[in-house]
Amino acid sequence: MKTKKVVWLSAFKHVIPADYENWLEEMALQGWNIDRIGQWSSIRLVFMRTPPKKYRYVYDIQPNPKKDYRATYEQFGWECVGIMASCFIWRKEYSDERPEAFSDMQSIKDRNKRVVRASSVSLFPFPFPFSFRIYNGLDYVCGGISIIDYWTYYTVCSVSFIVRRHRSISCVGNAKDL
Amino acid sequence: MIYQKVIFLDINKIRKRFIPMSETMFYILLSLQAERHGYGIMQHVKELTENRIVLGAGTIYQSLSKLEGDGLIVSTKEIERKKLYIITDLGRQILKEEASRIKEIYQNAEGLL
Repeated sequence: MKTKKVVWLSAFKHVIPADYENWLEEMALQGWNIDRIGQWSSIRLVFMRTPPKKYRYVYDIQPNPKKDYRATYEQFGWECVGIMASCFIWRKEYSDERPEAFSDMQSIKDRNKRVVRASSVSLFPFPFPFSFRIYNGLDYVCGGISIIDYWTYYTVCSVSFIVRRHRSISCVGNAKDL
Repeated sequence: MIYQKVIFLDINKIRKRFIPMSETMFYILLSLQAERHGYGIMQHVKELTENRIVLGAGTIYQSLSKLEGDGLIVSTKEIERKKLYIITDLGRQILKEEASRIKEIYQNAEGLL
């Protein structure tokens, strides 16, 4: 039986934080668990086969966490699975009541807003200087695909990514709740 | 002296930002009349509301940063990376104003019951 499963671009398939949390929780229920999340886990995520576990995952973005950030979560019994970019993934095992790290609507919205802000910063400025230069006359072609197409595609993807996250700011549970 | 003056000038802004206050904020501020850390606040609020409000770690961290940033609370000391906070004079004033707002609502709603 397979003991290892690699998922590519998981953070881009499950764009909305709540969806990502639920997806990780489902994987844990099926017996797929992550040992560690690292800088590149949004691109390549490795799951290991374990007995099924009931974990609540929480996705939190903190670009500048203060000293007591980790201590606060840990005191509440959360375990830090890892950090990718400025995003902390926390988990907690539970049996009956599903634990929440964000207990009111306002703090969920604040978290979602931070996620949108972070992705706008990290994705946006990147494609523009390139596409600008290329549209100005450099029609470099590689392997039959024009670089213009590539950057246009990149821009469209990143814009739709941010828009989807932006729409979900007030989304608490699944994207289906919208 | 200068510090107090800045706060005095900003109090209208802070009023606008915090009043009306969310239930979470109100209870956090109320708990910080005594020195407490994050987990202590959660336990105290849970007790006060008889298990109705159980604050989460993320919510508490966010609210404390917000309150500290606007000078409503201040951190007093740090024990094993856990910070202890207490309410400031400004925080107490905002809390009192919010309490009198709630009292008004209570008085106006009394006839309904």
